[in-house]
Amino acid sequence: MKAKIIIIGSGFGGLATAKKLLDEGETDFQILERAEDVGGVWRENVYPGAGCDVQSHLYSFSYDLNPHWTRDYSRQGEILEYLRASAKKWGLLPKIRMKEDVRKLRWLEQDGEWEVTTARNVYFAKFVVGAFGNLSDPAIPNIPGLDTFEGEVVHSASWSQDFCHKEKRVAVIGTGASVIQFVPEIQPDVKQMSVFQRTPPWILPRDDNPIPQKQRSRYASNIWRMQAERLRLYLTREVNVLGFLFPKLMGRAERQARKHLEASVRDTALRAKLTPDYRIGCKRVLLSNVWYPAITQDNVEVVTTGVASIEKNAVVDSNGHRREVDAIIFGTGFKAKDLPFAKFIYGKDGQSLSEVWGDNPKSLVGTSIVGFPNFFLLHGPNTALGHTSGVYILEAQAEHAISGILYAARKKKPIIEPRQKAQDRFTRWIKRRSKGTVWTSGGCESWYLDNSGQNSSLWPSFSFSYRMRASKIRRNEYDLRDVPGDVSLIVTR
Amino acid sequence: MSLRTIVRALDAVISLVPQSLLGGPKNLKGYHLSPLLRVILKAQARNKVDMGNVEPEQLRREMRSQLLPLRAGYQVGQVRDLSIDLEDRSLKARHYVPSGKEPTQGLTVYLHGGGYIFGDLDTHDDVCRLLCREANTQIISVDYRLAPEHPFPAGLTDAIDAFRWVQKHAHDFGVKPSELAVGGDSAGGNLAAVLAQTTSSEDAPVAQLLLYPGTDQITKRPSHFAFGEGFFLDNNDRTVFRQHYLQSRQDASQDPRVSPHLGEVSEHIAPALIVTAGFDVLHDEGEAYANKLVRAGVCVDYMCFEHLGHGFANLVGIHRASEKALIEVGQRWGRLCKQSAAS
Repeated sequence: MKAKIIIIGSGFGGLATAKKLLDEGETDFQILERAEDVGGVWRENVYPGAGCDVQSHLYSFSYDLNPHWTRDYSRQGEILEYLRASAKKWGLLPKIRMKEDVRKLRWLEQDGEWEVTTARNVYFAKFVVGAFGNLSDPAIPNIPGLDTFEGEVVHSASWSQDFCHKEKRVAVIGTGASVIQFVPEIQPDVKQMSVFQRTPPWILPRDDNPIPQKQRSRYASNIWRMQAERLRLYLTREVNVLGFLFPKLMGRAERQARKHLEASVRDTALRAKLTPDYRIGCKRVLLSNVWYPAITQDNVEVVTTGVASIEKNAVVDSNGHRREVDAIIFGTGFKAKDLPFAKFIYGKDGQSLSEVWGDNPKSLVGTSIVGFPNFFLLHGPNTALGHTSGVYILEAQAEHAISGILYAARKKKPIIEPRQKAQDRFTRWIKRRSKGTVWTSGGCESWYLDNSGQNSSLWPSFSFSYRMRASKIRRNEYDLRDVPGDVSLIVTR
Repeated sequence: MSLRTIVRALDAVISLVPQSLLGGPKNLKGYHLSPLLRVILKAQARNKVDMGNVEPEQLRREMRSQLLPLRAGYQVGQVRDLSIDLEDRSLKARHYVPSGKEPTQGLTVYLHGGGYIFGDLDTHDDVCRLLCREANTQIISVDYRLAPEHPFPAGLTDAIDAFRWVQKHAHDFGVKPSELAVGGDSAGGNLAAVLAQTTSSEDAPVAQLLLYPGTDQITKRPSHFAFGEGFFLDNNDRTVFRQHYLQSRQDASQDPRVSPHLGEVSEHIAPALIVTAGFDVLHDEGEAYANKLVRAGVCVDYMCFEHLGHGFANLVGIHRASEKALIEVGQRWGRLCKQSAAS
């Protein structure tokens, strides 16, 4: 099947790209989705208590504000419903081909198009927008003996509806964003829980309240109220960037987090285990009011000695202490470093994206990559945020991709590719800006840093500055050219 | 100066004014109606034909007199009238051949719109010419029998018989029987959808073009309420069409041959290009059918022209935005036919 543009993925990024293409009057695109529903990360993560760490009035599409959010920080179910409704509202459903799991992307230089191979079909497209998401593929650490374990094994991102934790002895591995959400949910029902913690996270209180019906109808009747609330949330969060950039400013936040910890945990030995030894912000800052109370309960034990091996019915820590368990829950996050999709995208020189990237992913404004013409990657290197809504960045990236596509069409050139010089300049700028930030100097190990120790995940500045930089392409950063040998193949709009 | 020249000049002038100054109605997604269409709606409201209270013959004459002066008469390679001689009757038809040296992309049997009760080869002449030119495909437009003189399933039977006839004579037109596609707008789109759904695999069309089709007489959808009055096609008109087409058999609304959306679809149905308009009472029906086909695994290319209304294909001679839209449809239709014939 042929289309001018193929979008891969139908989460926030894919849907925003599609909607913005329609705004430009471009209908010649298809969305490929590996599952049977839209929603991306919000469809996959159905563990108990799954929710967003950014207020919903901010964590939503700028073009599709929703007056009906029932709480400040929405849960997964409500966000998924929002995405479904949004896809339907903008007429995107007929554009989404479900159950199309993309296995390979190959640039065909001679034809000036991408060959997109899924498990069932082959598609050809002039442009590809990859909205894979960098938190799509669960990471399970390679612990010796895991395959011999006879109980149940689940990962937070592939929580099965059949899995029942009630009256079981469970081991929870990891203390990241998902764990602090599901542990308080399941703790009252489990018999015994051992939480294996590698690095304690910084946790700030979460000011999460239901939004009263009266407020919701006010939002529904006046969109400007909603816009004002969105702006307020945006600005209060945006100020925090300063702390990430200048770690010295983080003192106040650390004091707040310490106070929160001290108020919730009386036991000094446990408190010591839970106190981070690095600067706040170096790893993802988490929000919760229920995590500390949950892990101070009698049926919970926090283990800091690490997991050495797994036996058929027990988890053994590095001190050799055996804990018998019926189930293991991994809250170990995603393959955010070694991105799985990078292995099957083959560019101009026949090299895969992961070969080109190696240990240090590089890009131009996190969206396009030298050697991969007509390809735009959402949530690419240096586009993650530690402080505000990722949807805001995704929308800017979608606009970047579209402005590139339109620019090529306007100039009647079929191929657009970033310039090496521009990409180098951008990478140097990122490196310079990351120096001294809390991520590189905060004294922790996190998925924010790549295997070469560089920051290749986060945008080291304000989110509005990303938007200003990215939402339109700069002409001097891209090369336009014809398909080699065949000048008649010109993209027309 | 002809009416067409005047309207085209008007269109050229208003399209210079920025949309933000013009305002006007918005659809559910927040898109504005194309400015010239607002003028046309006003004019239409003033001399609206009350479909329920005129004789069908008079209605047909009226629609001809409204639509024929708008024609642009796009140039194609060759146009000739022919007669489809079936066993017990013969149908008029018109054959369009594209110009140019490139080999053509198969042949499309085209079924015109008009609520099953009006419309003919002349009212949809421009549509066929433009599609023929842009898609680089031959077209045979069929003058099927109309209700109420010939109620359901007469029109559908004609469409299917005509399609079979063309299939039998495919070689006379220089195409293979396996390269035949079907298309239609509005009521014709409905017939085309039913044809593609009900024909068995060996003599099924290779692709289907559904321009703002009616697909479901039962389910009420948001666009029925939003655009049910004062936008090109009214709910009243639809009731009249249904009464004439189904006559005493109102229960036939549930028949998948009337409401293809209620039928069973398999992934073996012909690949479809489904086109809807943003200001159309039938918008949601077309979109729902596109969605149904995609879910069944059919290869579907779906496009919605947000600023246009029902029947925009009949306005190509006077409205630039409609013309551009149909050109785009034609190009995508050509690509789909080529691709489907190849696989």
